[in-house]
Amino acid sequence: MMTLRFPGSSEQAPASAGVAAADTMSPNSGPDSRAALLPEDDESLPELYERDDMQLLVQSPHRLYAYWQHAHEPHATLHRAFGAAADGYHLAVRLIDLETGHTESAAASPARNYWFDVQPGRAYRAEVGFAAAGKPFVRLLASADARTPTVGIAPERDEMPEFGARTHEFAQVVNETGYAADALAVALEAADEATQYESTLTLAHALVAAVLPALGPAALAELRTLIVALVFAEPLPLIRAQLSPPLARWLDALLAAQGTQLDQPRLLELLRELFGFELEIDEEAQAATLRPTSFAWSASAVRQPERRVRVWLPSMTPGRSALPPLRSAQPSSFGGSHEWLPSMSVRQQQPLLRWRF
Amino acid sequence: MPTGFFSLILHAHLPFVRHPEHAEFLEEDWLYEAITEVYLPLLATLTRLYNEGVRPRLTINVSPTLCEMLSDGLLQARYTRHLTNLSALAEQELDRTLRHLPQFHQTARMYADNLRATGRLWHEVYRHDLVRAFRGLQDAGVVELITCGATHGFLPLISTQSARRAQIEIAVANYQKHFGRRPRGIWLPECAYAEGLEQLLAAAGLEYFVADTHAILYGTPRPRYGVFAPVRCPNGVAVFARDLETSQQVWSSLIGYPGDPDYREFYRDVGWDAPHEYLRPHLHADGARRPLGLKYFRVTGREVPLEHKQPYVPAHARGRARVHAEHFVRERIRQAARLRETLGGQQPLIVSPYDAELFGHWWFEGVQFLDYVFQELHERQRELVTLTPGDYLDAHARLQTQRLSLSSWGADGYYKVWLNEGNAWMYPHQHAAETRMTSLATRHRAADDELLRRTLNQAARELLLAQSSDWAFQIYQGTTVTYAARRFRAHIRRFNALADNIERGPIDQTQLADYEARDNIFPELDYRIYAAT
Repeated sequence: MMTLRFPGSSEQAPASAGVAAADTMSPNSGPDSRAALLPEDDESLPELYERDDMQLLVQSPHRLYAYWQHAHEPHATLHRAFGAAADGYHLAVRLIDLETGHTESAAASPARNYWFDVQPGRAYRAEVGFAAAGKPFVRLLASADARTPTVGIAPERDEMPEFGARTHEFAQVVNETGYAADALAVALEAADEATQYESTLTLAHALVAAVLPALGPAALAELRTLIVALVFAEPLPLIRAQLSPPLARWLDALLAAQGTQLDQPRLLELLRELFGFELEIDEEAQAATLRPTSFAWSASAVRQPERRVRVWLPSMTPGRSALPPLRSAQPSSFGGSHEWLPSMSVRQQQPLLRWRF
Repeated sequence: MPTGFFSLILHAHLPFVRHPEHAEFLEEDWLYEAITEVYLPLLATLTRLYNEGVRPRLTINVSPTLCEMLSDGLLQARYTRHLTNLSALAEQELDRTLRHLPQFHQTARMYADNLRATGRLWHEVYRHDLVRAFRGLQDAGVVELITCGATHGFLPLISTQSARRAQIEIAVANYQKHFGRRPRGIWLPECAYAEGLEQLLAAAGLEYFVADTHAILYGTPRPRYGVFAPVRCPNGVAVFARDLETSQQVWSSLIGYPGDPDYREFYRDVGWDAPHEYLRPHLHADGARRPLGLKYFRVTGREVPLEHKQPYVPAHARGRARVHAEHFVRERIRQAARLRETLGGQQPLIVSPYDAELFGHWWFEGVQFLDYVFQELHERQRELVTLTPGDYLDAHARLQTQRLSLSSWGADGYYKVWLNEGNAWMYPHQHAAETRMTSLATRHRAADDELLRRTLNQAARELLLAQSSDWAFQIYQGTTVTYAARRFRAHIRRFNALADNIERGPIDQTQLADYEARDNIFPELDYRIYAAT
């Protein structure tokens, strides 16, 4: 049964409950009467458009979508070209990382589409063709190149002096935008700059005694990203999949030393002890992701930060190490305002976990 | 010298919902509700403030599909019918609540008064022409009107450069038709950015666009001032990005204003609550209950179930709107002071983009809130100056140059709302139509046959309507899925039928006339915009 919903909202229309509901009628309308009014749907769209085409679309930094179609039935083409030798081949879709050459393959589904899990900041190309064990891939279709976006603050600084902020100042700017994880990453970078790149390594050693390999600037940046990911409790499999082998081994050692769960309070404490960073992570704000994210008919599902986090960054300037007072994440003079929008009145909040100092 | 600048940007958009083939149609109510609850109150409030010398200044995107609907004679007539019907119900409610439900009578009086005022505005003040009203506010210097994608197509997921260009150029031409000048800025549909779009914007004469926070924050090189100053793309087009703090104060689950217990509860509507026989004359011919817009309860509390909501008290809600507006402005001034220190003395620009329909429809008191916000900002203009992106660019020539990050303002910040397992099936059809449209337009670039030109123009309209991001969004959200999917399929099918007619002949004139009557958007459209350059 089709349920009437408020367009743009994920909430179902409420059941009649009320003022003088002498005769209650379901808010669900009958499917047939309503369907008759909708735009015609008497024939389906073409399954194919009889053209060779392959598209590779970026969904996110971590996901690509490929779809394709053939002007001619591909197996017939294969048999015409290869004759009996065609029997060992199957239709496959593959994704090529254009920087590393790494190729991921899968059987091409009859639905002619495939979702690929990928890495941020990389260029890819998808291909469909025939594959057989020990034989070269026979390419039938190729997509245009697609580049996933990088995630996080770019390493490049503006060469124009008026736009080239010092790292510790820029960390404060990022913090003001509400992107706390990125602010923390930049603050760690500033700490490294101020200590001949010892700060992050010191933190890593304090976490676990496992020996880290010698790290160049890029690997140090990766280590900072890893530490931030751990602080913000990103899923460990996702974190590990993105690490270079040396850091993946270090993470394994860390987890082996601490058990499968990272001692995050310890990590937060180290950040405060070593660098004076104070974090207030309000897990309650995660509930925001459950809300219907649109308020009007077909308006956008507007994104909000998944957590409200404030990072308190001491100045990196020598002699100015005093921490600023902890600023409340909530409006201070706004009693009774911590209510959710009307639609949330029918939703349950998730259990809360707070990390506060 | 003020501490900083504040720029409010409202995105007013609805998909093209016009169904002349039916005497009444549920989805057309989206437009009628928005006119009653959002557009008329907003226009009237801004006009009154201006006349009182308050001088509000803000940016509004009135999307091309909305402009076309607001200036459509059929929809204007149907809105008049809708308003007449709703007003009659509101008058009846005065009697019903007085006799049987005194706890709701005060609210019933509010609705009756509001709807009488709405009727005066619609018939006497604006004479059914809200586009002209918006234009008048722009000409008076109250608002800076910007444009959007022609049909709110999600530009990064449009497959060809010519189809992307068409979304932008058709929007600019439509803006010129309605507002008598060229737009300076554009609201990218869903704030969706991908590298290269700025070239199309520059070619269309657009100076700036609105993007989400991480478009700039994750851009290269690092943005010196975060999102608190615009940047320029390498080709000179400026970018203004969303400030999350202000966004949260209106949208957030924890500190968002609309959840105040005194505000009106959205989900209790007389259309569900009153006896069916009583409502019957005010429902559509099918007799199905639907929300009618008269709501008598307040939020009451976050955990309070719908059946335990308490009666709405208009005066209390109005009081809260004033308190929230004062709080909002106070917080902006504090934020600006804090930012100025962080930015090393640079005056920050706080950019707050919202869906316009949030104010008045979902958050009933939202327009009152804006009214008070502008009054408060006027009082404190020495501390915080309100301006539009165009104003800012006029005063600040020197901006940092940056390559932006791919982004949107949808869930998770990228494209998953519009490209996921539930709606990915749409793109092979849309993309095939985009390629075919360019092929047809290129082949018939010099067509002199009127019937052929009409067919090509209508094919372009069908493609444009299929491209609306609203359909993929509604499928993702699980709202009006059947309607959205059928709208998409219907437009693709109509496009294919017209393209087949062009390629294989003969052109079915009856069918063409039918499509032209139904999907009459952009009568000024010239299909040659799709031709390969």
